[in-house]
Amino acid sequence: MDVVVLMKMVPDAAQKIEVDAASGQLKASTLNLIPFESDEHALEEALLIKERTGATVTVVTTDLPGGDVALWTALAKGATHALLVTRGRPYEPRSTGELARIYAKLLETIPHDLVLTGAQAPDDVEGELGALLAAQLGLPYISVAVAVRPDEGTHSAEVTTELGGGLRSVYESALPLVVGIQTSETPPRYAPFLQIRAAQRSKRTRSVAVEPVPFDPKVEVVALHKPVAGKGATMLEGSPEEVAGRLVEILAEKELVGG
Amino acid sequence: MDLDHVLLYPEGKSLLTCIQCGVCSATCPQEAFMEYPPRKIVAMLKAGLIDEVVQSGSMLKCVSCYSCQAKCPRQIRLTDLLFPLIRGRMFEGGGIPAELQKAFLDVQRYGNPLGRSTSERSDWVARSKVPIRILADRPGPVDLLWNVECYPSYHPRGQAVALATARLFHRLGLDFAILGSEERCIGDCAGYFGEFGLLDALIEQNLTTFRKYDFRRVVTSGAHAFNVFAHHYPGYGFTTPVEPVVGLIGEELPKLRPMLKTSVPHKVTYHDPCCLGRCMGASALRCYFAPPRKLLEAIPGLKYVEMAHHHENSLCCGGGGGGMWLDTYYRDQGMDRLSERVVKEAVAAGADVLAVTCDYEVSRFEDAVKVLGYDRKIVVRDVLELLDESAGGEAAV
Repeated sequence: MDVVVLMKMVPDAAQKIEVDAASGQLKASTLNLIPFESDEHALEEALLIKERTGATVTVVTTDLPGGDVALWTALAKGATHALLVTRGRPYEPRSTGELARIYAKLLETIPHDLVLTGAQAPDDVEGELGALLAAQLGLPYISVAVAVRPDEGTHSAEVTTELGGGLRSVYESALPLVVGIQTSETPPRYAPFLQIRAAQRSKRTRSVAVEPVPFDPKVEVVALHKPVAGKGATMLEGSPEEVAGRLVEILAEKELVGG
Repeated sequence: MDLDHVLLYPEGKSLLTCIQCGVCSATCPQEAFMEYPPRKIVAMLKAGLIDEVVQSGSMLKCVSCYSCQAKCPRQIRLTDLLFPLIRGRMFEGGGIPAELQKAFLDVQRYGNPLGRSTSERSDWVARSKVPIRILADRPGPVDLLWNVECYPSYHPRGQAVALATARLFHRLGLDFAILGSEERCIGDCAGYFGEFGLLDALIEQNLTTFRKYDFRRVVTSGAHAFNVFAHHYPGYGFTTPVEPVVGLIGEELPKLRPMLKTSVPHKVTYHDPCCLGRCMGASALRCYFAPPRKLLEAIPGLKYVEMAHHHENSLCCGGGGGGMWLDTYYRDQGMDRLSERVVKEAVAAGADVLAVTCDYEVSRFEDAVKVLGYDRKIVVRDVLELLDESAGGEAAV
């Protein structure tokens, strides 16, 4: 069983991100790239599968800043192989569509029964990476998954996804299969620092150059800006006691708490 | 040194001298909740039952309070060596609560366990009425490098203590500066939970930053940071003198005393933090039992009372050794919070102010006061806040 995990480096929202007025893009100096949270869950789900079935887990990311650290961390957590996708120069993703084509091309060269990626990255809010990739590869695709249980004997997988209101649906699909992961069954594990350094020294990450097919993006980023405060919110002002008192009144008025 | 070969090292060999007297378990504030309390753990390590100890989770309940180590008649290094080794092994098999994992990941990523941006680390400085020099902006020689630490930098209550500290430094005419956004966690929780690689990385990074600047002494807000400075940094060749803020201000008391004019008419008790008391004595370095008490007693109108547990018998606040990020886990395990026990003792002693000097404690004990419903009975103040108030507070600088 070969499981491939596609990880994406995204801007860390804990840092103060600024938009460059001239270019309309995020200011590079304010960006700290970290692995997308759901991708970390995808990796965790893959590692759980590895522990249960002895599967091989290959982790892939592009050579954006921090991509190498993400791969060392994945190896420290127990991934089998780690691949850094390069194009001979720093990779600049222009769109998810292009990224999907690059990954599709890469996957032609590596074995894959299951391809896991995080659903809905900040630049991929429709969760389109998995869908576009599955379309390129001609594979089935299930998204917003919370559990993946492959069965090597029947060469199929049972995938659980979350619906609203606490409902879950369970799918069964033939392999190979592309899955968009929302959360893993258990929280992503922690990689101790010594093991990350050991993975770094082991030189187990491999660079793979992928030349993408020409791609004409149909969607362009027109503008970026910080959220504008709407008019729906009421800001309570005053001392903590006054604010708390008013808050209790409002909750009682709306009958959310006993008066 | 690793757990499998612990008996090959001198520090580990001390396990063989254990006489199973049980003082360690008897003095442990969490013993009642451990499947294997300290005495049994020592016996099990001697017998090679390492996996049983690791898998029991007993070590998640240790809050690195140093009680067992300080009282061990054989001076076995339980708190700062053997227990971290056991916990370090827990990373291999999972079982570390997600809340604590997140704190470590945040320290890896941002150099603070609160998960806040490095660029925001010195935002609190803008609210100071006294000048606070940031070395990156104004390099050049300085007497005191003030290591503000994480909670005083980011937590709103910690920031209030940091501002009071800055006013005291200013009043005393001290030549001080901070690292601002270059400062990172000094490494306490990582080292005491057994995340040795992270501790090592933090020390290396901090020493690289320190080498950029010219300072004569370090003064640190955090009791935990002081502990790590005292015990781990010398091993990396860092020999600059380090004092906790309360020790430094204690030395300056003759100069400060005439400024303490405003009466603070409260009955005040003081909580001895493990990292300025017991653990310093246990390692034959310095302990700081006297300075905070002398400072409090110098405040006019203040009446000092002692709690049942004090000095080397002080109860831990429960925040050490990763305990700061295990409150949810402790609740799930049906355990009492140690911070609540301390607040109950303070109220029983008749105090209406619980004075502290550890950077974790203002927020920890305030939470405990709220949980106990003691809002009208007692407030939590840092010793430095009380001194600043007596010196006139913000209005007098």
